[in-house]
Amino acid sequence: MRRRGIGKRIGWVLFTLVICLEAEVIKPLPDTVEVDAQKAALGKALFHDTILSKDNTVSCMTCHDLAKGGDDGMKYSFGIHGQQGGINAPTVYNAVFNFRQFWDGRATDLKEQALDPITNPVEMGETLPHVIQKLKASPKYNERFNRLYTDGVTADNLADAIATYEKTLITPNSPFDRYLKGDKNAIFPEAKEGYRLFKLKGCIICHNGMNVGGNLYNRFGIYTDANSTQLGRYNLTGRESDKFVFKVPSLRNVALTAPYMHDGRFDTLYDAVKWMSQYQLGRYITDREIRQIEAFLRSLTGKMVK
Amino acid sequence: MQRSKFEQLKKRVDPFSLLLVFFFVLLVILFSYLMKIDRDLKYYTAYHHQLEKMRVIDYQLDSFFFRTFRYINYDEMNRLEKEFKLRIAQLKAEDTQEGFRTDVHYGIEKIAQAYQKKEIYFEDFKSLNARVTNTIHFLFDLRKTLEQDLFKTLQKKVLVDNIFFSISQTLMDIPYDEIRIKEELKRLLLHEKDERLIYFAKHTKQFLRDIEMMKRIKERIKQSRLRSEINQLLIILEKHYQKQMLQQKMIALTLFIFAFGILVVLMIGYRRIRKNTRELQAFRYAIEMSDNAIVLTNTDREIEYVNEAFEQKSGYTKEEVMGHNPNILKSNLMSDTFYQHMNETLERGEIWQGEIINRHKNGELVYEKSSIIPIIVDGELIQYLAIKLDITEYKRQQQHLKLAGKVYEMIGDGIIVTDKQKKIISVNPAFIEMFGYTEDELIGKEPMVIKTLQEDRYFYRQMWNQLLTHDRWSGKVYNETKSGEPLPIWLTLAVVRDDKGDVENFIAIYTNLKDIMDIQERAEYLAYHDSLTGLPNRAYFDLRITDMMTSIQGVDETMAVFFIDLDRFKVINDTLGHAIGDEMLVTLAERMKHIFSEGTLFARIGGDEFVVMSMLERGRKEAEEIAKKILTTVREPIKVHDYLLNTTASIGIAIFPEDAKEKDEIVKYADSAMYAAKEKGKDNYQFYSKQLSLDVQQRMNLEQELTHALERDEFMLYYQPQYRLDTRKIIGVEALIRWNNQKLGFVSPNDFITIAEETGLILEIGYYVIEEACRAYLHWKREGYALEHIAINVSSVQFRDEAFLPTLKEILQRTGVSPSVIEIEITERFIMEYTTTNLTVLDDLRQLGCQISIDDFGTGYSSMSYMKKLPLDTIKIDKSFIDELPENMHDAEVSKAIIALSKSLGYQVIAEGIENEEQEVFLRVQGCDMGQGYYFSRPMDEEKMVAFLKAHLSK
Repeated sequence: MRRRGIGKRIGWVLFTLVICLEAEVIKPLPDTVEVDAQKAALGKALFHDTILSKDNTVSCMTCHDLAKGGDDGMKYSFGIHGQQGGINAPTVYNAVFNFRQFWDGRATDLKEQALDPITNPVEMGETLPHVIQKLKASPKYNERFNRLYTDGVTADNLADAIATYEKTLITPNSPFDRYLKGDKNAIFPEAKEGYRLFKLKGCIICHNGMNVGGNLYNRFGIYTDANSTQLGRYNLTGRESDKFVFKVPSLRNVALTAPYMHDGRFDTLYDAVKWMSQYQLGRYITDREIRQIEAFLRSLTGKMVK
Repeated sequence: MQRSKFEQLKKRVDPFSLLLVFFFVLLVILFSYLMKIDRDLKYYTAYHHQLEKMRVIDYQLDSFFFRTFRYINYDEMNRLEKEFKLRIAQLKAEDTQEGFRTDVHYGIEKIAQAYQKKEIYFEDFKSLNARVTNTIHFLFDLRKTLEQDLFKTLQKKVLVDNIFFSISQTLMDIPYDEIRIKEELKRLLLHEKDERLIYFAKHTKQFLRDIEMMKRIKERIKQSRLRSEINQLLIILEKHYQKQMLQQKMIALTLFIFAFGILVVLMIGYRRIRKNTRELQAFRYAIEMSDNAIVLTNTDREIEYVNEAFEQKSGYTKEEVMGHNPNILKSNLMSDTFYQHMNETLERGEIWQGEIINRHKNGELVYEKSSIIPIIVDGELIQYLAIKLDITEYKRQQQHLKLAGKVYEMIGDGIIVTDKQKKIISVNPAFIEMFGYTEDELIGKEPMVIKTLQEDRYFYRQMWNQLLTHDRWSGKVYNETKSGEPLPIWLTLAVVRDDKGDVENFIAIYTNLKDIMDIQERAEYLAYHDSLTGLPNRAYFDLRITDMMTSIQGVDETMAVFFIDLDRFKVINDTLGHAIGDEMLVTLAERMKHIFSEGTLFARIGGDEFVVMSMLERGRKEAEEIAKKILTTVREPIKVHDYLLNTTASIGIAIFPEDAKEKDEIVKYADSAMYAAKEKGKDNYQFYSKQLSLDVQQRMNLEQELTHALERDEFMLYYQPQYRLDTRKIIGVEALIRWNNQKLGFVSPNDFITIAEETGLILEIGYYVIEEACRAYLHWKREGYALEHIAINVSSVQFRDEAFLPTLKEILQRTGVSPSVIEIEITERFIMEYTTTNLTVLDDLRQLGCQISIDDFGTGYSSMSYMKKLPLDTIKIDKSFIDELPENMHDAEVSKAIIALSKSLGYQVIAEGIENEEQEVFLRVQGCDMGQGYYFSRPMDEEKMVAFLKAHLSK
């Protein structure tokens, strides 16, 4: 009697689990984001301008090359004076849909994030007062800021303009999104199989939602120590349990954003998927499965902004 | 300076406006407070809503925990988290904005802290749940695979089942035996090489660790104070809100009551102001209509208001003076010190009063009595008010009066003023000086206290009459000073009447004539008195008759005018000499003077003509008595030297106003009556009668006819021969005029010559006579009868005509008659009437060659000594002396005397009216040269004269 009850309950749990897996847990990206076009235009100009860096050598574009999938394709990026950073630059594309910014999630949104690289000594190496002074001295910016913001050039407005621009950097209409919207032939059968495996292997548990990830933290190296040099969220909370906890990154355009992991330890998707399966899911995975998942991941590449 | 300005401002703010401002401020406060309440309510609602929403979100987030071990789309969770954080941020933002109370602020802070803590657990939960879910997922997946080929030994399978069962129990929150699972895992991994089982064990271990952690997290989440904090804050908010609402209600109510109170005060104030406004309107109306000119200026003395009276009195319109200084009216006749004093007074804030001479727009001076009042309200000068009364007229009158007063005081003439009852109310110093009375003795008395000396009641009657009808009288009076000294005064009386024409005052002006009287009175006396008798003369009579007539005009009284002529006075004069005649007149005048009562005028107006004027109280009877008295008095013999003279008088009486109302008329009538008396035989009196008037009428008719007599050729000449008494030879003729009128028949020359003389017709008639006589003379000459002369009567009126002599010459020349033929006959009266100047005409005639004879000699009063000087040729004895010759001794003596006298003077003598032989003889005997009369021949016409001459010569 008792066993039967338990069996029944197990059956219900499994059932719901399957249901959950069967339901589409990835949502397509919206086609557009509503923003103030003029502020976005200003943000665009700033995004591309090296004026934000101390020696006018580095712009946002330097590390977040929109033509290269929103990052620079390097393990660690170089800031002013050829200084190299300590963490892999994440893509700027679709960053708006992330629940936190930076690997350790220290910024809650784009606006919070925008000023950080400017003042980071190894990145742009500027001070906010100085960069504002420079912008004010520039007739081009001063006039535009004054027109769009009542208080003209300020750090906040600078962050807002850049963030506004970054909100427009989305990559809709990826083959997979089209697939989700009903175009069953939008992706290859291998990719469809990859998607099935993606869900089946449990990748979906962390990489889900609109951005296929980017909506929770998790430990880097759950089943096996990953030997990470960065402490991740521990930097923020100081809790022992938060050591090596990073933001789960979005997998959109993942095919374009090599090298992978926060320390850029893998150059290929194959290696990344294989490693993830072992270290994060604690599972074995076949080559074929990896290739299929890889095919799925490639279908997540959307339309880049020009 | 600053302080004073502030003071000024303070003064300017009156309590009413202050209250009004306060009221508006209060309304604004009340309104904004109500707005605040509304806003607070909104905030409260918003807060409440936020908090409720947050509570819901918290519940939603918590609901994720029920989905432990299940796949969760973290996007949804992230969204909720984000929303929650957003709301906290909003609350905080509103909080800072509103400065919410500390406890609310603190509550939000606590919520934020609680959430922050909880959020960490959320993140932990997400990671853990992902891992656990993955484990469960994997374990179920693995077990499926294991069942098919893995379990070679039952033992291992039982172990896996047991472990799996334990995991399932855990999932169902059934406590599991941890030690046992660990034991079983150890046994499972014993000698086990299969990688899948190793994974199984690894996952299980991990699962157990994660489950533990999950439990702890859940525990922590359960312990989270977030929800209670939210609830707590809601309660605080509610409490706070309730408290605030109550407070706000109280404050709003207080404000409202306060505002209402002020409104009531304002209403009362408004009612009072409205009452004041009405009063002001009434005042304004009064000001507008006032006779006084009223000017309002501001403190800079710029005109802000003027009334109509001002416009009328100054000639400026409102628009012209608005904004100007009132000194545009300045006449520049006032001194600077005057204005300085005025300004000083005004600056002290005192009322200035005084008289200003200003100028009308047309340039005329305007005297104004002004009051300038600084209007001070609440201690601050706000305006000047000038009230100006036009006293120009008053001023002029005053000046006039002042002048008059000065004159009154200074004039040498005495002036008294009486009231209408003739009681003296004022005398001037000159009067007091003049009469010697003191003022006290005069005031309240009648002017009659000043004694008059000579004036009679008629004089006063006439004076009052004149004064009351003409309001003015002037005349000479004789008064007496207090000391009894007589004073001749030229008195002018005037009546002062009030607007209704009633007598108000009398004014008497006394001009002392004493000084000039000595001269003037003497002159007047000489002018108005007869030097011989001392009686008033004709001039005086003329003067007084007017006065007397005027005085009785309109009074029921009568006056008689007596015209007295002495009979035959001339004879006395002629025979006894002027000295005797004059003396007789003096004696007679003196005697007659006494028979008249006072007020009767007795004057000598001619040689032996006297006039008496007397008021009659009893009418004609009284006049008769007077006349009889006169006659009696005259009849009494008068002793002059050695002569005892007898004389009589003829008196004519005319009564005024019965007979005539005019001065000339009444005298003439009296004269006429006197002649009537003469005609009645002298020594009697006659009243003027209607019959005399009828005679006048007859005379009028005669006069009328006479005018046309010449042109109708009604005149003709008759000639009476004049002959030598000794030889009875005709030597000449006297031309005598005859008038045969178609209506009146033959009219006697006695009747019409006088009229011709009076009307002037005598001139034409005279020339006719001369011309006709000359023609007749020449006719007779042609017939062969050359006469020695032809006598022509010439009236004294003709001599007065300047053309007489030239016309005579012209006629003689034209006709060719020698002047020596012409004998001009003049009457004795002519000689008596005219002065020597007139007598040059006689010399001129004599020069021409004419002869001159005196007609009617003896009837006049001419003295022989006087006639001696005249160029005469012939004296004609009047018929009246011849008539009774030779029987009448007196006539005979007179005739003898005339003839003797004439002879002695070398004049020819002719007698007229010889009617019988005795007469002719008597005259011839006496030595009279010539004669004429019925005895010799009646007068005849020209033709008959030819025959008469023929017959005469043929004798």
